[in-house]
Amino acid sequence: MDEDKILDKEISRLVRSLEKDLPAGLEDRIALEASTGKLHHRPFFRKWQLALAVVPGGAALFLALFLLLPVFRKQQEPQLAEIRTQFELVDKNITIIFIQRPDFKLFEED
Amino acid sequence: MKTESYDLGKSGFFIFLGEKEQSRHRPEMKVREEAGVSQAIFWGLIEPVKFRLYNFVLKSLNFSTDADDVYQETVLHAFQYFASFHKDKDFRAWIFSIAHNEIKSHFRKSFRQTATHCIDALTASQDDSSGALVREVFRFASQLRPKEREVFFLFYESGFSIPEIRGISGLKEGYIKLLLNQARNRLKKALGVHHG
Repeated sequence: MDEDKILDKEISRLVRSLEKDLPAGLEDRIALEASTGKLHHRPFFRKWQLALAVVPGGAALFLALFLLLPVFRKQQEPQLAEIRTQFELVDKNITIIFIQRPDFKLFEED
Repeated sequence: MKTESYDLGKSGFFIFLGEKEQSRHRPEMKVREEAGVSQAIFWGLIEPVKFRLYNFVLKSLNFSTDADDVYQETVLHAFQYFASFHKDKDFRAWIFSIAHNEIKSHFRKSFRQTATHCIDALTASQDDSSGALVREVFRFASQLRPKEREVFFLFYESGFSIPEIRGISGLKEGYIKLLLNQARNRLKKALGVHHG
């Protein structure tokens, strides 16, 4: 463990023995850019990853809506078109059929 | 009079900021003053770390000519998002994590190999025995993958501890220890030969 620490100190000394100062003008350039506010504000849709994500995202949303629409749609109550009641008098060979429809008016006046 | 203090790391300096009484009556003045104070704090905090930060970027990029641009992007991004920095956290670790992201982004974007300064030319001023050891260390570092090289320099150049490197790079502590052990073992042989 102590050997590692000694080695670490030695490597650190060697690594730090080669150092460079900040180039002249770099700090001024940074300060100028920071003060003038010319920072990189990337517009929302210029990020190509986001722009690409919009296409499959939109398709997925459309598909989800398409599949879920019938589930949320209010189901209509079934309406009776007509009721048929049929009697058969077999010995007299007569068949009586009553047909009830919604538009049939019982007391229709002329 | 409200006074705030900011610790500037190991340097032991403090900036004391006073809030002027008049600005309370003029809101737009206060906003401008607050922005100015925030900028002053930022430049005050970066002053003691800039040298180490620049050298970390430079060495992580293998002394590439792009290091100045990456350093500039790091500082400007830190400046831009300084409002999100919590003053109770370590500013040095925060700005180095921004540098880590910028380096990662640089390696992702750069398809072409950028020009690098020759290590032999950089160590020309050092005497023969010391220069040979330095060359050996940097030759070893240049063979590492970018992620591994960053860990190497965060530890040996910037002086961060393993938990701090984990916070900056997002790598697991076990992996960081493994990388550092590999580096030690490789350099032990190389340096041992030179020490005789």
